[in-house]
Amino acid sequence: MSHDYTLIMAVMNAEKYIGQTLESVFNQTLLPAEIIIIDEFSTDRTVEIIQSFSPNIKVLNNIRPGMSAAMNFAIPLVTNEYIAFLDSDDIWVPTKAEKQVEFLNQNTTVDVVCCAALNFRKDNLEDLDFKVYREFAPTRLFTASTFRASSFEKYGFLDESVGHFGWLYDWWSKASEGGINVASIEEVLLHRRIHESNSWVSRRDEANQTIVNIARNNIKRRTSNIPEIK
Amino acid sequence: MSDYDYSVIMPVKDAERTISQSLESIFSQTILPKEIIVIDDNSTDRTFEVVQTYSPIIKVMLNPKSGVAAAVNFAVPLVATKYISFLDSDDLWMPTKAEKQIEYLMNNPTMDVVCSSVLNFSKERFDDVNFQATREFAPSRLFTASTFRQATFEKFGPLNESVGHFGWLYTWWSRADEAGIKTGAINEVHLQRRIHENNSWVVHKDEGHKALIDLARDNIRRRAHDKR
Repeated sequence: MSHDYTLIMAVMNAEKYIGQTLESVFNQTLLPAEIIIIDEFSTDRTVEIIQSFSPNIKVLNNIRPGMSAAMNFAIPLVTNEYIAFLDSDDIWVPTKAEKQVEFLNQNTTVDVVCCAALNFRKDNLEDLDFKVYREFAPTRLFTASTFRASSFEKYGFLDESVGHFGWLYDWWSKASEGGINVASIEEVLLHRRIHESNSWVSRRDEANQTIVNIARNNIKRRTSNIPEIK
Repeated sequence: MSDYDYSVIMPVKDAERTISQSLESIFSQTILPKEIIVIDDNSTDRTFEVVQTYSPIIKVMLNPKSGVAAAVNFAVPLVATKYISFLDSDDLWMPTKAEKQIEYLMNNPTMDVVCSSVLNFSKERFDDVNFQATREFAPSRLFTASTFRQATFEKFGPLNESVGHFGWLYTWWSRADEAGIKTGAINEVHLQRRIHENNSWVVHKDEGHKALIDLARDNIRRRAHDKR
């Protein structure tokens, strides 16, 4: 049984919160064996802050545009058994990695494990003291989950053509059809920062349209084997 | 020979509907290329004809093999200038793209390559030239958004021709990253990227994802080998 996991993060101009986020990684009771950060050529101090944590963090520039492309670039680089993801403004509870990795070690048929999350928000953008907003039951956000690296070979890579909001829904739709085995730890292991620049807030219309498109794709794919009624 | 001399490599296939617009965006550059090398991947439409009569600085040749990676590998050794840029046959350069990227490489002699931000466009009909901007992206290392030093390909090697559509791009950059390639970026839109249902990344999605699996397996194999 291996406890080695790679942490993948995609970042762009994240200087405001990246320090807190990485601190939560370095406070883990089980440290990652490797950290790969895909940087979309940040123009602020993001890379400098990352490098101040450890010279061993791999910082690579994105090859194709967008978040799903960043992940498709990073995932094949992973040679460890497990992969965890973390958004550049979220915070892990110190036992997050240990509990999830231990869970996957003990439940060998499970492909991915997620956890409950606690949303935080603040009153103004400068305020670093976020207030607890709401606790959520486990969901399959990548930032709340640890995957077996083999999951992406089994259930596919991320579709880069379905937009910023599409890849998550698209991947889980296809993985569910493929029979992915997901488990959850009913415990808050992730603190999720809610702010005005969260892309789900600032680009709500695009997000909603994308979900409609994914639904259409799903229907098309799932009915493609059914003969047409004449 | 001028310090600014650069070549453009364009791998094309069945691009008669968009190639003129793409070429026009090259001829609207504030610095014109020394030559444009078009490698035609056995188009079945009028692409070859359209390109052949376009300008004397265009060399058009048939791809001796098939695929984008083979086309690029065939073209790179033909280049006689210090800088090489690439343009996909459905994309458009902004007029100062070449000038700003070449100047960047001149001012930053340790950089092997420079890329710029891109703006995605989509359209209602394929032949509709009035594209609507859909989204701006931070710089990424698309070949079509970059200018390379010619020496960069000598240092980091040719493209892998056997790994399919997503494959060559991810494989080349992964290996170049390991070998320490230095990429600069200009945070300015220099490329307009046409998004349509025939984009190769959409059409060849399955092949692309298979390439990523192969790349992952190869990395695991190499890591295990290094440990021994």
